[in-house]
Amino acid sequence: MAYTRKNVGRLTTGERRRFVGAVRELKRRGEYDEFVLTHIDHFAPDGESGLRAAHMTPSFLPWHRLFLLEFEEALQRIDPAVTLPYWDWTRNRGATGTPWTEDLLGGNGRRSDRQVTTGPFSRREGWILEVNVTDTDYLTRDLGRSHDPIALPTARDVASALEDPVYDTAPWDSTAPGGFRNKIEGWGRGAGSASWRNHNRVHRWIGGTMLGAASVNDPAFWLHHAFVDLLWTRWQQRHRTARYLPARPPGPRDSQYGRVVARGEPLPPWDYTPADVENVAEVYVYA
Amino acid sequence: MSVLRNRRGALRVLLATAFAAVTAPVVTAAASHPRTAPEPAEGGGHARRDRPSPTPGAPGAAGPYAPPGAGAGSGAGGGAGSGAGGGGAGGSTEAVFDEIYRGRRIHGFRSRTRVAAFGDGMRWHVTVDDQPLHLMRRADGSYLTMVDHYGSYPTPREAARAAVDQLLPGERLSGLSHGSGGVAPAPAGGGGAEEGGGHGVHA
Repeated sequence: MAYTRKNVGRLTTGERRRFVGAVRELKRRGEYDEFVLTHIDHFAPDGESGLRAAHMTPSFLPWHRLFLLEFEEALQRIDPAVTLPYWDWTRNRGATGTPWTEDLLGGNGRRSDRQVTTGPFSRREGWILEVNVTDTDYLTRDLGRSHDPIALPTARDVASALEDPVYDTAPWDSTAPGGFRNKIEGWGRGAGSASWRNHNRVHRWIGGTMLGAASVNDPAFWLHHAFVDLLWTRWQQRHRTARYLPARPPGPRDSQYGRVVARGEPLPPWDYTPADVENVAEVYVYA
Repeated sequence: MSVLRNRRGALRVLLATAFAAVTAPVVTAAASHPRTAPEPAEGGGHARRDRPSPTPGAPGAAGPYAPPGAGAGSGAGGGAGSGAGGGGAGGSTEAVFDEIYRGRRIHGFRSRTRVAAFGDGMRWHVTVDDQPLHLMRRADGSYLTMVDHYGSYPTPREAARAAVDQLLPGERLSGLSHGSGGVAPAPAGGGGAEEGGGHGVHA
């Protein structure tokens, strides 16, 4: 029977406690850091060579769906009742309140060094970063980017992505001019704020650890990506006949030959294909 | 419709084995982190045998770069990312920018040798206070770094400055980079299961 992923704002006190407890236990066992590393290992940008499984690519959505399923299963091995909550950043938009509370993700980083000092993922509570892009071993956040404030993406930003009837378009990378995938992943043309839309913009809004390659260190990563995953299901409900694209691998003369995962091809590091995870309604549902 | 429903048990097994294999090579990179890196997952388990193993002499490990600190030629203006120069002057590098930005020394070298199989990012070596800053290229020609992953900048110099903007006083880069385990060029086969591990510059 399908289990339910809930809005993080609607978790009971007990559900919050058990989710946090399972995440912390995963970290204590050393398994959490494997997730950090896997995400780093699969970030192949589109201006370099090689297959892109996770970012700047059509399989951005199914890759993270599998990544979340894997993480959720790891949590459920610790506590079978736990499911991933999602954070709807179009509605919970403040730097305080859900999900930045003592009993969930903890709050913003402090002013002096952006260190998260509150909640269950502070260094004092034993949340120590083993894998990071710098020698800092504590979680950092700069919610809203204090030195030059930016806002979270709006419901309107999300709606414009959801309206696109096509899943993805050539050249299947961060420059794809249309398609739901690139609009929700959030790469615009060029640099600066144009490349900070939707998913990307949320990483930037949180800032600190979440802005770098080791973003998975911040448990906010999972709540953020659960919402991105929810948006994919919403897009599917709106465009019932639309499928993952490309349906077939680009040919040898295509610049994207060997660079992207087609609908029926395995998605590293898993042996599952995008087609396998297009419909997960019988595994989990969002409420 | 959902394959996952029937394969849920199988999925769990597959995920676990693939996962262990992917994690292990990256731990090598993470080892440059001053603190203890985590152990590879359960000793690697049933590792994917088709995954390219680390190649010591491959580009990116030593790379076509001279040791940083050689070049003197300081910043050639903001247009550091332009594709000027190049040509086959075998294995040497040129310093393209060298400046103090917000108290940090940022230094950008570009290899004069084109490495055909790799993206342009491979031709750059950027350091912040002599620590390597892994630089990657976007398809539109702009650059990202490990520190600032969800946006990009027109030139390596601007990407390096943006990385410095994120650093706290006294904070140092760890040298962590992507896919340091496998450094195979783009898969020759029909677009699929192989993972493109090797890209970008790292220590």
